[in-house]
Amino acid sequence: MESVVNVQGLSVWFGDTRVLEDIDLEFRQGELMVLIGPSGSGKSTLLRAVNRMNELYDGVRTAGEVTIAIDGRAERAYGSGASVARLRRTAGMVFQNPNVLPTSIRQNFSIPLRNVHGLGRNELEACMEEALRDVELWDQVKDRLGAQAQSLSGGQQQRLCFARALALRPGVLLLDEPTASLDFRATNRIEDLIVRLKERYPILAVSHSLGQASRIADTVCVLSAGRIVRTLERSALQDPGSVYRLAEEFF
Amino acid sequence: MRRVAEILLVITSWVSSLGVVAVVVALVAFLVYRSASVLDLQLFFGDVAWPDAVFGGARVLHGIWPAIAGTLILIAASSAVAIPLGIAAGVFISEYASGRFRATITFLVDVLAGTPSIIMGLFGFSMILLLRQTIAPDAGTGLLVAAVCLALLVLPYMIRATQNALEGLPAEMRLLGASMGMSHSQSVLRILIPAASRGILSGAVLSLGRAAEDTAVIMLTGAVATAGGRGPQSLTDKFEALPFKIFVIAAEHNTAEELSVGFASALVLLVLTASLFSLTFILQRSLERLWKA
Repeated sequence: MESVVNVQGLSVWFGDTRVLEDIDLEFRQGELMVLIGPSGSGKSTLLRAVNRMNELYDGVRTAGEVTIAIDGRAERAYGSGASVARLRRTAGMVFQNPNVLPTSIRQNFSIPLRNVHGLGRNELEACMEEALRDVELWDQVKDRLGAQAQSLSGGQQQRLCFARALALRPGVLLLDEPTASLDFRATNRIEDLIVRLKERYPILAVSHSLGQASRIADTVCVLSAGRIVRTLERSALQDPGSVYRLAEEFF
Repeated sequence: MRRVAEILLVITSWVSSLGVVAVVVALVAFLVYRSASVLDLQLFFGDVAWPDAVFGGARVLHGIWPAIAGTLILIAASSAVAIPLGIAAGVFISEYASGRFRATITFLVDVLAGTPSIIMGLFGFSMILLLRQTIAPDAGTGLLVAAVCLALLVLPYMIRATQNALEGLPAEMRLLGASMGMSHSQSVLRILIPAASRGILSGAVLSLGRAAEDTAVIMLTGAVATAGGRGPQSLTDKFEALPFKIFVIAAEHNTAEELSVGFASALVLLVLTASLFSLTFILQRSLERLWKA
């Protein structure tokens, strides 16, 4: 299988603090890779290095190379002449807290789709419907697309965020602890959704829960103090003993 | 002990809030009471029929219409300068400037905010003197000079309100536009400014109110006690304005009725600014609804 994101020798500093140290990582089409580790281990920073979101903070320095497949061609994310906007468009991102715009459900789609893809009204409606169907939210919101997105429940808001990311036609999904703020039932639905989306998109996700990682991941990378200290494949995750030993060792 | 402190806090908050309400009500009631005897159309237009005064340009020699017209045009002109410039500067400081440059501008805005209005008036007055001695011997004080100096006076309110509104937005909202591949300017224009528009509105309200009531600036830059019974006809005209009118009446009135006209003018100024606030409020809410819908 071909590699979608390839990270080589990646180090990231915030000021004088080295948050990531010499990371190598590769994930492929159809793969769901989950990064876990104690808080402060650098997992979110690693995720955000892929779409260069770390650069929005002051005093960040990045070294190493990230290669990402954009429209079928491998491109260097940090190469000179790389388009950051195109890179971020390719990498659909979902945040920890449901990050809906404080507008109607419809505007949550039309603001980004108009500005990023220049879509007109009709294309926009079709695109929104398709994305909302993908996340199984369409039936619940189709009669109130003009309602405020913030009036939805937390789980629905998060699914709206997934739909918005999908509507932008991403090549890869980056999920930053997408269930951390949700209750048990909403978490289950989001996990089902992630597993379903895996068929169509390669997914890199950060998780705070080893249990979640072992439920959904094809590959788990364990980070500790800015380094990848363990990589486990799906078969190893099915063995309760090895998961337990992992928990003992790192959490 | 803790319980007592809590009760005291609650009582103090209630008394303070009620105090504010009481003061406003008392102020308005006092103005109404003192001006009741002169509150009619004659107050505004004297003996002239109002359509002739408003649309026909007839001279109103005994009425406050010229001062109302002067104040309205003055506010419009200074807002036209201060509001766009203030929003632009606030957006720049919050979203584009960084490091030492940003600190320097912020400091200069603070200096401007701390400048007394009389200094702004003197600044406008000296500018005109300078112009007369150099490139424009015919330059004089007037509506435009007053409006620009007023704009300078209210600019820091506008800048600071815009900056605070933008910087108060949640951190994740700032990341959102970028994460979807929107350019920084798209994200500022389509997400951050609309989301901050209520805070920006409060800056505009503050600016309007400040521009409406200021007397020190305009008395040095072109306001006069009587301007021929008409509102300003051009941007270089001397003009009447309500706050200056009130000041002159308070200082020079001869009869009790003249003083009542002063109180009535104060009431009119209050109603005028309140109407402008409402107008600004409605405008902001309609724009916001457009963005949210």
